Amino acid sequence: MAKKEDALSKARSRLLGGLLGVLLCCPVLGQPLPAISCTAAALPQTVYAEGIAEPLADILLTCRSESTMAPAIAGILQVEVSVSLNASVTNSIGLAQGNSVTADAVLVVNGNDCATPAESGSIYGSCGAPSSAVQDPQLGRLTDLNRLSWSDVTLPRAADGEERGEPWVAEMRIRGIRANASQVQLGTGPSSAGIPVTASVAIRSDAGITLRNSVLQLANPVVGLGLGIQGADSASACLGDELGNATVHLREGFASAFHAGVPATASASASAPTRVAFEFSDVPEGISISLPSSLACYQPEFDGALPAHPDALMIGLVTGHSETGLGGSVTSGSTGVGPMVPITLDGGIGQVVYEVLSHAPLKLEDCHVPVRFKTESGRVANARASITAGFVPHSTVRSASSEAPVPRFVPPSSLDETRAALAACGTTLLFPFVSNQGGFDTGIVITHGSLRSLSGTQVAQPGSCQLHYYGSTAAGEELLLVQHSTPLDPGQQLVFTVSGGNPVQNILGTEQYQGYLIAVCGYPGARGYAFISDGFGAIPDLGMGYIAPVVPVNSEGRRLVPREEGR
Amino acid sequence: MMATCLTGCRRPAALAVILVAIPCLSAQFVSPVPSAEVGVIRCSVSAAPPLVRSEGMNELIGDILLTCHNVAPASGFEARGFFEADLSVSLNTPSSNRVDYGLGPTVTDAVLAINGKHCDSLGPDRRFTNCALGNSTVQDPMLARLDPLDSSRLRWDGIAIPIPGAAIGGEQSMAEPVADCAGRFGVEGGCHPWTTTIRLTNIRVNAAQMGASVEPGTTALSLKAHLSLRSSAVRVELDGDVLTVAKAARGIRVKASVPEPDRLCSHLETAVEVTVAEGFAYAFKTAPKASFRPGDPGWEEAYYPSQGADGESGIAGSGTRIRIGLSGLPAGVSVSVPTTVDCSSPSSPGSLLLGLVTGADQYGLGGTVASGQPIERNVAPSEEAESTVWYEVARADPLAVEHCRIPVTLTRSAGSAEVLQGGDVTVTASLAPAGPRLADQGLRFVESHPAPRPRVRLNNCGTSLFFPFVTNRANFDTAIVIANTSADPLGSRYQAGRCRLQYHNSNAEGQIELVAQTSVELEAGKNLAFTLSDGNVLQGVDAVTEFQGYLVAECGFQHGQGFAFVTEQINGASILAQGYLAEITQGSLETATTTSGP
Repeated sequence: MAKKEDALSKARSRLLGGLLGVLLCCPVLGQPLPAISCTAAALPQTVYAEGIAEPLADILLTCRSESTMAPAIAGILQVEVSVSLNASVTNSIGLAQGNSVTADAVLVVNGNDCATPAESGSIYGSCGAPSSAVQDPQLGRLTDLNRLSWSDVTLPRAADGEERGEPWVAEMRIRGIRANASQVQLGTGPSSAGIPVTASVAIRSDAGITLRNSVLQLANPVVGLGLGIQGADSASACLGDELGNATVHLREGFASAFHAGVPATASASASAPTRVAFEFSDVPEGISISLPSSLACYQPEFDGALPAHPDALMIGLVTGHSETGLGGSVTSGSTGVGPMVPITLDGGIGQVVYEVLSHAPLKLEDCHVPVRFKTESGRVANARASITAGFVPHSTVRSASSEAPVPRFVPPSSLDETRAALAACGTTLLFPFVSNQGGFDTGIVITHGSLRSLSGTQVAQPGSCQLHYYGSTAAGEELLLVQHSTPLDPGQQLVFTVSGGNPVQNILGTEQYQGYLIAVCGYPGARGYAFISDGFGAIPDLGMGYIAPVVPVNSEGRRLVPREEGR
Repeated sequence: MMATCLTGCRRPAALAVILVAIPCLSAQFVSPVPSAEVGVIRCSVSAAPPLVRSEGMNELIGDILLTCHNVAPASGFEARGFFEADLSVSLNTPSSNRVDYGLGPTVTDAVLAINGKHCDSLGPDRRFTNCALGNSTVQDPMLARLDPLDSSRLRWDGIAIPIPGAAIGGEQSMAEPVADCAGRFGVEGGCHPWTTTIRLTNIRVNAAQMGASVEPGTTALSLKAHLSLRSSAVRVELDGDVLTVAKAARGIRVKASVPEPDRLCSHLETAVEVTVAEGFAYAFKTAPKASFRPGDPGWEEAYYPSQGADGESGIAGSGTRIRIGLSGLPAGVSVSVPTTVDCSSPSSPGSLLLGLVTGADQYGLGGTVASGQPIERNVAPSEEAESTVWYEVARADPLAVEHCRIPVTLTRSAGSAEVLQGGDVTVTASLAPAGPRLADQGLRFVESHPAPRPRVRLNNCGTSLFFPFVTNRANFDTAIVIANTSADPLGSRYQAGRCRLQYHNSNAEGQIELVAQTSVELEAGKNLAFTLSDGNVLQGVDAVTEFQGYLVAECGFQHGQGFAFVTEQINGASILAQGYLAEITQGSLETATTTSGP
C-alpha cells in the first residue's frame, strides 16, 4: 500500500515537474531572450600514450545571459554541441550496423544525471534523473571519426531568477569521451612523447550563443611503461644446472600507470587492474624460460628476502588469458618471489601476462622481474630472447567500436624490443695445427683455470671439454671427430696426445691425423697448450709448442675474429 | 510554433494534452521575432591542431573556425545584411600555399568559406553566385592573397560577413527588416542564422623553417596563428585571436637490422631490414584527394578543390614518398629491393603498403610507382658507392603509428675482389620529394637525416695472415700450414676460398723482391700445407728457392689460422726446430648496428 502511494506521489511529482518544464522552455510573448555566452573549461588529465580508448577530462560549459541584443527566436532554447578532437573518438557505440550513438559519452545539463542516459536530446524523466524539469542526460552521436555531437539539447530557463533580475545560468557537462591517445604519440617506445589531446568545442543555436575558450586540452598522454634489461647474470650462468638469469626492469611511466583497479564512481565505471604482457621471441630451440608466478617488487630497492609491503607494487601471473590478454585467472602472492613457472614457447615465441595485485598510487614504481633461462639438454648452450612489453588487452581497433574492449592498448612494437643474451658458460680453444703424421705427434694440455684471474669470476665449477677435430688422415680422407672428456675440477688438467689419447679422461687416440682442433670446455678460464714433436715415445729430434688461442665469442655465443674482439 | 514546441520538447502525450488545454500558453508561440540590427560582432576562434611533419615545406594545418555572434549594443539596421571586413592570418612560419598559378602573383589557394558554402570555382575577390548549391545569400568561398611584404601572412580583404540574425540583403538588393524569421533562416527573403561561421581551410605552411632538426619521438613545435578581423563599419571582437593551428614533429624514423653474420662471405648475399617508421600516426599519407569536409582534421592529404587559370588544380600527384639511401657500400656489392612491400603486422593488419618508384629524378619527383606482387629489383650504386631508392605510400592507416620493414638484399658480385673489404654502410631515410628548392616547384620536404644514422657493419670476407719470418736458406726450411677454421662447432658459416701468398724480401742489393702465387680453393675445415723448399703442387703452391723474408697470406675466407714450423736439417736430419702461430693482421669487422630511433 505504501509502495503504491509512493509511486503515485512520484508520478504526480513528475507530472508537475514536466509541466514546469513546459512553462520554462517556452518563453513569454514579446520577451526576447538575452544574448547568451558560454565558457568552456576542462582540467586535462594524464592518460596512457599507448592507450586507444583513453578517458578524457570532462568538458564543462557554463552559459550565462548577457545584455540583450539579439532577440532569440520564440520558443525553447535548444543548442547543438559538437566536440572535435585531434585524435579519433573511441567510445563504445551501439551494436546495430550504422548506429552512431555512443554508449558512454554523455552530456549532462545542470547536473541532472542518471545511469541510463537518453539517446537524443529533449527527453525528460526517462531514467530517474533528479529533475524532470531538466532534460535527461544525453548520449553523444559520432558524426565523424574525430567528432561527437549532441543535438536538440534543451537548456532550461530559470524563471524565478529572471523575475528577480538575476542573470540566467545553465551548465552542461560532457563526460565519458574516449580518444585514441596513441594517435598523437610521437613515435613509439618509452622515450617517446605525445602532444595533448585537444578539443575544439562548438555550440550552435538559433538563439546565437557565443562560446569562449573553445579550444581545450583534455588529456596529456604519457608513456605508461618502460622496459629494459638490467643485465644478464653471467656469474649465475656458470653455476649449477641453470643457464642463467636476466633481469627485466619494468618501469612505471607515471604514478597511476600501474594500479590494482579503480572502483566505480558516480560518473565513471570501474576500472580493471592493470595488466602487462611480456612477449618473448627469437628464443633458440632447446632453451626454456621461466618467470615468477608472483612478485613483490619493493620500492625503492628490490630485495626478495623482505616481506612484501602491502602498499607497494606486486604483480601476479595471469593464466588462461586470451591472445590479447583478456580473461584468465590471476595468481595471488604474498611475499617475495613466487615459484618460477615455465612459459610456453612455440617456435621461439611466447607470452606471459601479469596483473597488478597492489600498488602505491602516489609513487612512481618499478619492478625487477627475474627471467630464468635454462638449457633443456644440460649441454653447453647460448641463450637469447627479444623481449617487448606492453599493456593489455591490446587491440587493433582504433576507432569507435561496439565490440572492442575498453580500455585497450596498441600492441607493443617490435621496434622497441630489448634483447637479453646469455653466452654459454665456457671457453673455446683453437689449436690451429695438430698432427700425428710423418712421425710427428702432438701433445695437448687443457687446464681448468676457472680462477678469478682468468675468468673474471669466482666460480669454481667442474666441466668437461668437447674436442672437435677437423682434418684428414694420411690417405687424404676427411676426418671429423668429436670427443667428450671427463669432467675436470678447478686446478685439474686434461692431458693427451693425438696418437694415444687418454682413456682415463675419456679421450681416444686417432691414427694419422692432421688438421686443427677446437675444444669447447664447459667452464670459464680454460687455457690450452700444444707440443709438436717428431719423437713421442722415442728419441725426439724436433719439438716446439704453442699456446692455443682462445676463440672470442659475443654475448650470443657467436664466434668473432680475434683481431676484432675488443671492438 | 506550438507544434515546434511540442516536437522539440518531446513531451509525453499526456503532458501534451495538458499543454493544449492551457490557452494562455498557446498564444505565446505565435509571436513574430524581428530580424536583428547590427551590434558588436563577437567571434570566437578555434582549431583542433593536427600534427604536421617538421620536415615538410607544404604542410596542411588544421582548419581555423570563427564562430560569430551579434551582441549589443545595436547601431542600426544594415540593409545589405552583411558588413565588410578584412581578415588576415599571420603565422609563425611562412605560408607555402600555391601562388602564381594564373590568378595573379599573390593569390593563393587558401580558402575562406562562410556558413558552410563551398564551390570549386573560386576567386580572390568577393562575389555572390549560386555555386553548385543554389545559395547566393552569402558570398562564395574566397581565395587568400599572400601579403607581398610578409610571406607568413594571408589576407582576405573585403569579405562580406553576414550579420547574425539580420535580414538577408545583398550587393544590389536592399533588405527590409523581417517581421518573422522563424522557418526562414538562411534563405532568400529570410534572415541570416544567429551564428555566422567562417572557416579558413587549405592553409599550408613551411614547417621545416620552424626547425627540421627536431629529433624523432621527442618533441613537437607549436605552429601558431594570429588572426585579425577588422571592419570600418562594425565593431568586431575576436575571442582567442592567437591559437595553435598545428604541432610539428619529425615524420620519419629509420632503423636497420643486423645482417646475418658473415652470410655475405659464405653465400655472396645477405639481407638487411631497413625499417622506416612514422614519426606519428598520419605522417605517411596516400595520394591526396579533393575535400570539402568541414573541420578536416588533416589526417589525410586533402585539398580544397580550386583551379587556376592555367587549368592546373595544384593537387599533388602522389602520396608521401620515402627516400632510402645506403652509402659506403663496399666495392663489388650491389643492392636489390622489392617492388612492393606490404607492411602489415599483427599491430596494424592490412594497412601500410609501399610501392617502389622507378624513374624518379634526384629529388624523388616523377617516375612510376610499382604495384602488384613484389619483384626483386636491382639498384645500381652510384659512383659515390651509394644506392638510393624511393617508395611511395599506396595505403596507410591515419589512426595508427605504422612502420615497414623493407628487406634490402646486398649481393657480392661474382667478379668482386677475392677478399671483400667490408665497412660501415650508412642507412638514411627521409620523406620525399625533397631537396633544396622551393616548395612550389614540386618539392614537399627538406632533406633531413637525423643523427645518429643507422650503420650496418659488413665484415671483411677474408683473412690476412702474417708470417714474420720464413726461410729456406742455409739448411733451414719452413713449413707453413694455413687452416680454414670456418668449420667449427660455434655455428659459423662454412666458407671456401683461395689464399694469395706474397713473399717479401730484400736481396743483397737491398731491392725488394716480391713473389706471389695463389693456392687452390680451400674448403672449410681443410688445411693448406707446404714447405718453402718443396711447395705443394697439389694445392697450387710452387717452391721458392733460397728465400728469406716474410710471408703474407690473403685468404678468401674468414677465420683463417696460420702456423709456421722452421727447422734446420743437416744431412737429412733435423737438428733445430721452432714454430709459431701467424699473426692475423686483417680479420672481419664485427657486425653491429646503431639506430636513430628509440
